[in-house]
Amino acid sequence: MLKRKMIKNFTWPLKTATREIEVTRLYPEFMMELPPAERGIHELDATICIGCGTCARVCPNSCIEMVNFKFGSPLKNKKMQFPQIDYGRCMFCGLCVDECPVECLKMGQKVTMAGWTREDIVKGPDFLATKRFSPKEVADLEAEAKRIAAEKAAAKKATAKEGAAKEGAAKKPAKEAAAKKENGSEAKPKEGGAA
Amino acid sequence: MTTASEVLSSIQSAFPGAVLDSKVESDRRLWATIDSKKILDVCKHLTAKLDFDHYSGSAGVDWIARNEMEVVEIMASHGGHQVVAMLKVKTPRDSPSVPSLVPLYWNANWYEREIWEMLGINFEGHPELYPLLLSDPLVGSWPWRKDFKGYPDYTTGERAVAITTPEGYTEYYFPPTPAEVEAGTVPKERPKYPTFLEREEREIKSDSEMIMHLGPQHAMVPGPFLLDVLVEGERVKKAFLDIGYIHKGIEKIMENRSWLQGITYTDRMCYVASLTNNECYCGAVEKILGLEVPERAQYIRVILEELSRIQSHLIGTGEFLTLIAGVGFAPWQYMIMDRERIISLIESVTGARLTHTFVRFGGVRNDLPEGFAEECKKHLPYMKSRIEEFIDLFAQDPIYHARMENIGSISPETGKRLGCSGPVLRATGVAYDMRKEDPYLVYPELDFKVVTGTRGDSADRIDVRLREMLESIHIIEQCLEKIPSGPIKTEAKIPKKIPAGEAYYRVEDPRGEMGMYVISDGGDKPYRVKVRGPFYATFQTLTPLLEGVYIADAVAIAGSMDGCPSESDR
Amino acid sequence: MDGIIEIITQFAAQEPGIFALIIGIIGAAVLSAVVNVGAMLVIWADRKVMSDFCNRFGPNRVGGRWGILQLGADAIKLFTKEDVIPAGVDKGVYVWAPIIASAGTMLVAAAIPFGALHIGGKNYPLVVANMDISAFYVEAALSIMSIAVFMAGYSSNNKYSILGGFRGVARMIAYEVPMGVCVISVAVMAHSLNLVEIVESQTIWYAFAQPLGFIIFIIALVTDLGRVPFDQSEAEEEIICGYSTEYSGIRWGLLYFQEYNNFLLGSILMTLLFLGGWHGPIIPIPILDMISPMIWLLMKVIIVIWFIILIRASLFRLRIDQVTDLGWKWMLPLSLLNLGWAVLIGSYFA
Repeated sequence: MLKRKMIKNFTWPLKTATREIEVTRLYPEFMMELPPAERGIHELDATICIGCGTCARVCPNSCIEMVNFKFGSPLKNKKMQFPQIDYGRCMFCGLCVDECPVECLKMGQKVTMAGWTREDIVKGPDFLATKRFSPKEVADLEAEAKRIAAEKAAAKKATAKEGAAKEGAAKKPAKEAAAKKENGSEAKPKEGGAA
Repeated sequence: MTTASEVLSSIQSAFPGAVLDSKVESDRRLWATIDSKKILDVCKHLTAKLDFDHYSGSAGVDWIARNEMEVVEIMASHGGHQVVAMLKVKTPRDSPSVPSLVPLYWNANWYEREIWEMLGINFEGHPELYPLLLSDPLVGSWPWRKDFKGYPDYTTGERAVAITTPEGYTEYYFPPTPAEVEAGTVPKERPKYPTFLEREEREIKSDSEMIMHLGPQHAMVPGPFLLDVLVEGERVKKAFLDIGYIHKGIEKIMENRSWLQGITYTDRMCYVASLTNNECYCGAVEKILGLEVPERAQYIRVILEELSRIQSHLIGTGEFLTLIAGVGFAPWQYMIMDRERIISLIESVTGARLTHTFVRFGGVRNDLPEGFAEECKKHLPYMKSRIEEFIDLFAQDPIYHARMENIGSISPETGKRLGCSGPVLRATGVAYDMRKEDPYLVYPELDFKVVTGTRGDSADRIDVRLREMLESIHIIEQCLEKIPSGPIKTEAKIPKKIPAGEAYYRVEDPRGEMGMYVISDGGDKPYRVKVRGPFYATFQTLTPLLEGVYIADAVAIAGSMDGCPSESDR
Repeated sequence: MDGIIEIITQFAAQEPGIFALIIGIIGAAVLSAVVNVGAMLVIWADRKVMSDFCNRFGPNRVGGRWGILQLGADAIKLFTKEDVIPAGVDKGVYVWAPIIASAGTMLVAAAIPFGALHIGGKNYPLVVANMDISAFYVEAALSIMSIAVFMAGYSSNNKYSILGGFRGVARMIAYEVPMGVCVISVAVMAHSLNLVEIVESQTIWYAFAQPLGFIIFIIALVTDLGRVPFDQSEAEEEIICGYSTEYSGIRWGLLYFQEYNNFLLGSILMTLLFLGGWHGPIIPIPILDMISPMIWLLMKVIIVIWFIILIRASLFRLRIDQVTDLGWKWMLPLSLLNLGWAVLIGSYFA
């Protein structure tokens, strides 16, 4: 029974007792350092979100709901929808981030989100948006939108006048891009929905 | 080396007409449809002549469109050759019944019970067709059939009988319909799992015996499973094992989620081995798609899977130490501290600590971050020295040896017969490792040994795990040197709808052989995913090992299996 | 001041019986307060020292950075919890088990010298009951805990509890004998069974005079205290909480507390028997010189307690059959050998 020695059993704890505490932290005072890749609470870039709803569709727990929210580019659809995430259900798999076609959704390093009620951890786009248009930018964009709308109307009038001439849809870069994006964002959900 | 086509021709020549349909996918995979009358003979022939001594499991598939059901028997060899034979047995859907393989393979018991309770396929000659994962009243609603409407089945509301228990709870049960009884899908007298009182009445022979729970709620269990032991004093005379307490129906859920969403569910089967589970599922889907994974992605996968193996072994061994030493035992906490470093390494790549959802079809989610190799080079030598210290510690501790040596010993033959795998089997001396047997990713290019033990007892299982960690560190070091630059995802576009096909993909989980059998019918969701978990197989071997040991040894044996009921129940 | 003393002396002269009773009650109150506060500190030390070995913080919120008031908070929680007596228990035995455990420790405390006052070149031992056979008495009274353990295990109507109770008794019987033999060996050397005299007679510590006896005694003591590697009666990974599975709230608190009371008293006994008690150089500072024997005793006790905690952090738990094997097949013969050695040496020095 006593052939082998038991010295190491005693020396190891003693050696450890002299060391600094490495792993354990006093939690609220000291948070652990999170890597840049950390999948924490989402960060929404509201300036580029196109409200396509891909994130809501790919979510395995259906915790993302698209809700109306007023920020976003007035160049696009005014009734645009943004993701609202129920963190009571979210499992931080990151599929929504991967599938986002414009890469507007990211997962940040913030991980604490305690609340008093269940509704407290349903975070709307207002909470998620880390980047959004400033009031000035909104005003500028609105002016731009008006200008485009006016141009559109003018162009329409012109095309109506000129008949069904196809050259009428002249290439106006800003308008074209906006229209394209809108088309794309509308087309994609349909595809996904069918799938 | 035996190849799949040789196996096929051997079966065909021995049993002309038995093989109804066959496909040789590669040298290592054989798909064959066998006449259900001949399946027993074919299996006998495979075992006796062709060295198929490993019954790896079976899967049931409900082909509702073809109005038939299928049982797929997965046969492999313990190192004799690398062929996996997938033998399909078809049976009509109205009265599904196939011969049971329990007389040939002891470990077919649970697999067949599961198929019976989930799909209603009767197994002729099965000794104890009790429900395994489901509760008694659910039996008969056959939840894995494609036409299952949920429980209680409101579409056939008249069938659900509500009973109010004396405690005031409402319970439902489904009496079999006359048609079902006639068809024979439901045994007329449905065998019920014995209740505790019935079992006490049946088993207790003298006043000095009692049946004691070591689960589902006990400090010993790593998750809920029922382990009743019949004890006389301190001596265990008989053990009864029942699982299904955390049956989540993951296989069924995955049939209702898109291919991509399925990855998140594989995480949750066993959260300490989520990367290998990811790999297994994605590998199977990649096989159906015929995708080539870029080399860099393969290396990243290997690095992370080996890191994940280290952390899994650390917590498995650490938890086990608490079982035989108490929670105050300091080296347990050292293992957890060391595991923290590994987890942080994994987290810096995947962004999550346990449920990684990292592997993607044809690649991985993230590239290695800047400075990952340096971090690894900092932590891995430290880990190595720590693990060597653990090996030292156990080697020189007399109490550890008194508690662990020759406790729960398995001989190599028994280990093969019982169907266990992973460190439990390797501790007996059988070098059976999927990384060598069924090479995947870049493992063939890496140099590593398969760690084996000699006695197959609890001490050996721990020893094998500890030395395996050293091998894993060795593998990671090689990978960090060899890893090429390049894309981490395949160029090919992954379609939303995976083309019809089927694949069986095996990986080496920290707990042993993990296999996934994935069938696609060309839809955007898997038609069927069968998970052949390593612990499910190892779990079965627990009861025979517990007979005749002390209660404290029962804890030591069950703990040294490094259990994960979450994965065995799915 | 003089008036009060006069009144007291007058009262003592008139009613000697009642006076003795009052003094006894005050003594008992002081004693239990000292022992219980000591035990609380031991619990705190157990958690804190364990956390050191495991590279953790341990209690660190209640009562500042060192969590010194954590035990107070825990005690308040236990006191205010609902008192649950499960259905089907043997109620009388169940209720009495914690009380008997506490009574047992108080019996021990009564006969243990907690040190000595050094006044005028002479040591005045601080002991409530200075009896002739106190060494043996203390050793016997320490095992009353085992009776309480069996009562608790037997009455709880629980399979884990009864196993825990059986294990406790099997262990106690196996180790009480070698422990008693060790005490006898010490008594043989000291020519007395009185703890005070044993301490006074230790010109060399008995740990050096009979090292074998010292090792056996420390193993037997750890067994008696039911700590790892001998905590089979409450091995939580095997039999949940053993004998105290069905206990909750303050009843569980009492049982738990008595373990630590015994831990403290057992460590003091160990110091008195083998480590020279309060022997040590007298500190040449006024007032401090008076209590310097107590300081020495305290320091030695702290080292013993620390060592037993270290054992908990470093050893695996033995199986119950191995424990009894070790007790009967190794400890008993070795302790008898030690007794022979003690007789030889003792007669030589005498």
